[in-house]
Amino acid sequence: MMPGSIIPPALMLLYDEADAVSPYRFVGIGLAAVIFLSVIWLIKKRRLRGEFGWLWLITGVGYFVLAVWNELLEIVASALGISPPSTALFFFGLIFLTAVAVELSVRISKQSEQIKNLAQQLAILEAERTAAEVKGDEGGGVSEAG
Amino acid sequence: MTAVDHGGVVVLIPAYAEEAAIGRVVTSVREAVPGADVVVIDDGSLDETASRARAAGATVLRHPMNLGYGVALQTGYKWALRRGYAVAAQQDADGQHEAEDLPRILAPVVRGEVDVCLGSRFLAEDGATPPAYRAGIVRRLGMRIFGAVASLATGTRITDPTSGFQALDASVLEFFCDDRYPFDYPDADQLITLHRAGFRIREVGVRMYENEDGRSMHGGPIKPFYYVITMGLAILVALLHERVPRPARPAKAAAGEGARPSEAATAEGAPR
Repeated sequence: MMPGSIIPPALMLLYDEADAVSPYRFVGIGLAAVIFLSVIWLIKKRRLRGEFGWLWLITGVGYFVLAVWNELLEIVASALGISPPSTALFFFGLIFLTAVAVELSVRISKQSEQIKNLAQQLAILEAERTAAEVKGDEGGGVSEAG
Repeated sequence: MTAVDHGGVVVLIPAYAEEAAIGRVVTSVREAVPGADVVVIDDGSLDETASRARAAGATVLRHPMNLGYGVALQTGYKWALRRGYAVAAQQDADGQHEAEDLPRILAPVVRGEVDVCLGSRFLAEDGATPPAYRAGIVRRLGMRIFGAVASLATGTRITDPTSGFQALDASVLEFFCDDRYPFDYPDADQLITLHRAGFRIREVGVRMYENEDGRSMHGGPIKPFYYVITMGLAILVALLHERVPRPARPAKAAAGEGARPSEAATAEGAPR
């Protein structure tokens, strides 16, 4: 900790206690800004929708807050008895990303099920339509579907 | 609901890229069971499977993309339920199964003696000679073990748990169309689940041939080991799973009954 420092308690993702004005700080802030702006861009382009847009937006803000106000990380780390503080970042980052990956897998499973059901329904309806057409022009040639 | 009540028998043939064999298979099925409707489920083939099946006289259900053997079967089940068939048989499209054996696997289900009848390549019956079915040693051993496990768990002698040559009562089709049921290849775990749900299972001996062009869904040097491990796990899961009760339905009425299958079709189409 550096109490009484003139420099705002700012740092980057990889905290360097010995050197608060380390250029890494700007790298951290820059990276957070890039992530945040990328998410905004993806949402604007409609390539990221719904709750995942919000999730990554908030994550981007979180990165930014941690990069600018790194004392937060120190406070959390010392409260949990984790040292060095960057370990806390990795720890929670890993938990967060694992949770997101599991959630996405669950969603993919559900969507696979839905796609399967849709494809089956399509196959069934198409066959019924073909059967109806064949019945319709009984005398004529068998209509070939698809 | 466009349920048409056939009350009859449908033969389901899942097919993927089987343009060479499908015409002959459909024709042989139609000759073997003249009263049955033949449905080919084309699992997203890019070749002439669908048109050749149609030309041979089958109804064709076409998946817009390849979804796998198990899903193709389930599409057939959904069709059968929707159209109100009382019994469905399933046969592979590659010429592995002998259509002439269809009546023998259908009979016990049509008569209402059992709900599931499997054609076994290892069971000699009615003078049929069990053919020398060639398979790798690992896979053979796996089938033996899982057959034994399935026999123990179901209290029925199961010699060929992976047989895709089956006849099923409409109640079984309904069970398999439930989204809670993970759908996959026919195998020991499925039989155990069916038994635990209260369905009656029987095996009859049939002839089975090698895949004509040497392809197999279980081929490859690593797959047998993979199969043994996954099936072991699947059986464990099947035994651990909470019992899913078979769909409630009125008792089998006399032959030619109408209400039962169309009820099933309606239930299938209703939103859950």
